[in-house]
Amino acid sequence: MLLQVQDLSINYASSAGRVHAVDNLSLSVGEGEIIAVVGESGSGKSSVGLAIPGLITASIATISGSIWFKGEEISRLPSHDLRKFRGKEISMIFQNARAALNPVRTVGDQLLETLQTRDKDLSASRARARALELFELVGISDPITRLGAYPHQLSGGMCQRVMIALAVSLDPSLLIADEPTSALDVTVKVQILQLLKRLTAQIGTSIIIITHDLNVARALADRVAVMYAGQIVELGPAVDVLKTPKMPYTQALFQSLPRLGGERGEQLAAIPGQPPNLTAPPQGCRFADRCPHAANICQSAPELFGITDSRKARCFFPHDSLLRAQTSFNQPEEPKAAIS
Amino acid sequence: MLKKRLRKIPSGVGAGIVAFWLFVAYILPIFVDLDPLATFPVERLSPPSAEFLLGTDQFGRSMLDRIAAGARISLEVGAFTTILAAAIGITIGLIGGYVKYLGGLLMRVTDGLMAFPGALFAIVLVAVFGQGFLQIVFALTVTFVPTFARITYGEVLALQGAGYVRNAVSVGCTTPRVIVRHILPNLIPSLIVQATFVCATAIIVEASLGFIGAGLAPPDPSWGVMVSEGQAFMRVAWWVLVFPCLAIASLIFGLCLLGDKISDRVEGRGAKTGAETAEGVVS
Amino acid sequence: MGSNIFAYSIRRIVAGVPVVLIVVFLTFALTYLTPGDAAVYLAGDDATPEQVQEVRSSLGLDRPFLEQFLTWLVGLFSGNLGNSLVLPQTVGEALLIRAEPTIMLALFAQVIAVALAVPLGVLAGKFYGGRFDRAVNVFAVAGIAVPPFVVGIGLILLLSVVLALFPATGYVRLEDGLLGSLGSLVMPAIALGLAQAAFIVRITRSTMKEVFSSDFILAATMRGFSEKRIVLKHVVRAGIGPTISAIGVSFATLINGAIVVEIVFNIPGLGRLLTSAVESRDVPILQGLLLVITVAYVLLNILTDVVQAAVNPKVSF
Repeated sequence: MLLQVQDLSINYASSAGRVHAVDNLSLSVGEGEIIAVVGESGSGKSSVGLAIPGLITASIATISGSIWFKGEEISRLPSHDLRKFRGKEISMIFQNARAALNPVRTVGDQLLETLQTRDKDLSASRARARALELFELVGISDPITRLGAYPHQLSGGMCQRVMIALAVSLDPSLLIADEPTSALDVTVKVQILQLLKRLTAQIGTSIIIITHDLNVARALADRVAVMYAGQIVELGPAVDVLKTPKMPYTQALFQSLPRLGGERGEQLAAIPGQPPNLTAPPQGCRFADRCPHAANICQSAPELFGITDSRKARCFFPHDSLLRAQTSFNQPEEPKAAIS
Repeated sequence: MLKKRLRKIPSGVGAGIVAFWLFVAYILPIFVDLDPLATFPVERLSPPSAEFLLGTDQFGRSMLDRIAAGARISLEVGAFTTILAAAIGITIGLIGGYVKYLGGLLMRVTDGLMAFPGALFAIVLVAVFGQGFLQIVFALTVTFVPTFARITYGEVLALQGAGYVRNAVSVGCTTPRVIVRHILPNLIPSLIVQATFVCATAIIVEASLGFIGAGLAPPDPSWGVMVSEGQAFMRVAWWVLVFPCLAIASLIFGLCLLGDKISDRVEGRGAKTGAETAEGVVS
Repeated sequence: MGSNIFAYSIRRIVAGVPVVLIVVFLTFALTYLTPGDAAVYLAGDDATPEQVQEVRSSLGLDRPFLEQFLTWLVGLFSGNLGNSLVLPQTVGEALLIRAEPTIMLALFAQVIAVALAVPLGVLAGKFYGGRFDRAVNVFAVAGIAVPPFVVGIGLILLLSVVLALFPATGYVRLEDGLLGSLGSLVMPAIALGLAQAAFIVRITRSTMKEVFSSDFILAATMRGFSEKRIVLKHVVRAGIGPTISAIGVSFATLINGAIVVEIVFNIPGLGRLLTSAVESRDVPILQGLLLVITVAYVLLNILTDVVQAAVNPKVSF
């Protein structure tokens, strides 16, 4: 295992009390694997992404649990020692790439800085050659001119490519991509997803892709973890989870999604109710209040039950819901057909 | 909860300090007979005592009486200047935004006035027109009119393009109605913030003028004048110097805190902070 | 880029010309409005009205407004600011002699202010809301609240009277040695610098806070850079713009403050010249002071804009 997260809990202090943003979350990522963490905003998915490289500091949140990376418990390292992992081993792509680039420095300057501060022996000319290579790798045309551009002179998609070039510049083993495409046009979005997929194949990087968009998960991921109210509620191979969701929340997510090939005039089902208040999360199943199939037992907390060797769901009636899924939901599209 | 309370204290402090000085300036004289000019030659440079709470100065005048009278001067300079400058400045800003040619000319002159470093301009104006209370208020008003005019003008230009103002115009709202119903309400937050800082700055400039001998002259109990006179005695009679200094500092401090609080409240409603716009006038 | 900056500077200077012309006009109009003119003063206390009239026409004060203005303007362009009514010098000479201590004081104070405000503001922005930040904030409000002359008196009381560390007052001219000159200005420069720093630190603090919480700093952290590199090469560089503007704006308070602080410390600079001119109603001196200082201020503002443009790639030339 490349990365192993065990019992991760994150509590933020807020004026309304402690917010239990992430609750006892465990997750592992294998070499070369792409895993999608799917959830709506407020589900805690971004907190997980930030916590792994140690970007959530003790001053803003209480963190418990452990994070192991290549056999080392990085969650116990002081920030000074974490530094050597960042960029080189674990790197990150942000939602709004333009905001994640320093506005007063050229993108080339930022890329060269990354290459040279992390490898002191790299000569200026070698660094430049590598920078051009990276720009070509991420599909930036006219890389020589683009190296001298400021972020505000580039389009959103181009900024995201630069961001990806920066993120992979040090050949990281793990790439955390937090909503990498949600700020982009649909066509650009497809290109960026293709690029990420190609990079994994080429460099062998593992990716944790954090998204609210099931289509992104479908296009990219080997495995999917669905998060709701700070917990993983369903986990399994992408093909299976997306084809036969077992947890009612995952099913509801599908129903709220417009589908290619769906009936014209088909109603999209909004999930009734609101996610629970995470300053005082419910004792039992966190989805119970909104779940059409809730029973009395749902007032006690379900574990993440194993269904098959590879699939888990936080639900007392996962098989039941499998039946329901086959009867009452339309099957989603074959996942990987849309994007090769 | 405790943290919240701690954060609330400053607003109370600011308002409290200002209220204290209002009390000293206007309420105290009702109950106590204060005379800033009465001299007690035997008591010259007496330290603070039961009879003279803050001691006496080199002519044997009660420091307490003088400081209370000085508070009045400071507050009145601040208030009159702010009200006059705001009234004139807003008018000029509105004319600038609505009356093409005259407005353009007025805004040019405003730009020119803005170019003068504030306090220096006030000093020269007072020097030219005479060192009296009215002249000082006049000079400070002229100095601060551009600040208000600029804000109003900028807001008018911005709002003339705003959708809801265009709507109002297109459904036949008259110009005065647009100004009263749409423009002014939007201006109020930034103007209030500005006003507190102009008031504080005016008080500082008045004290500075008095201090360098370019404002009110002795025996007027302007705090600046008192500091200037007290400087000669600082080695023998600290109270003559320290109390007026504390008075100035505390009043301004109170006004600044108050202004900060108000600007915190109205921030997000598009008000600039006073420190950014009251530029360059503090001496 | 260099030539672009040059072109931009020229454009800014050209744009400043109308403002300066308005300033010149207002300065002249000011003296024209003066109740009781210079002739009364010059003719002496026991002059007859005829004598006063004679002086007036010899000074050209009885000519029409526009003619007087033009005469004055022509004089200005040939570098002639007129004659002092009291001093045995021309206005230009008087200003020149007194300028050195004021410029020295102002520069020294501004250096102290920037050296104090920028690091404090950056650190306060980094630890925004923390104890250090709140201390800086109190300093910022207090520094604005307490006028420099009060700070100056406080310093004299503390450092000269109580601790006897520095001479209370006076100025050593530059020709007698730079160190001695700076030494004589330590206290006044601190008094003035603190107020300046308070103004600048407010702006720096709030912009740096924004920058520290921005995505690109998080991204830079994720690239594994050292804290030092992130602060110096990323945060400060990205957030210095508003601080530069604040420094530019603060030149006005610097000039005003220098004048007042000079009085506290008895420094023979422009402030002294100003107060004596106020006392004697020496209008040409007042005029000259106002004009020269304002033009200097306008130029400093242009300089600020140019520096601003040089560090901000988003400003197009």
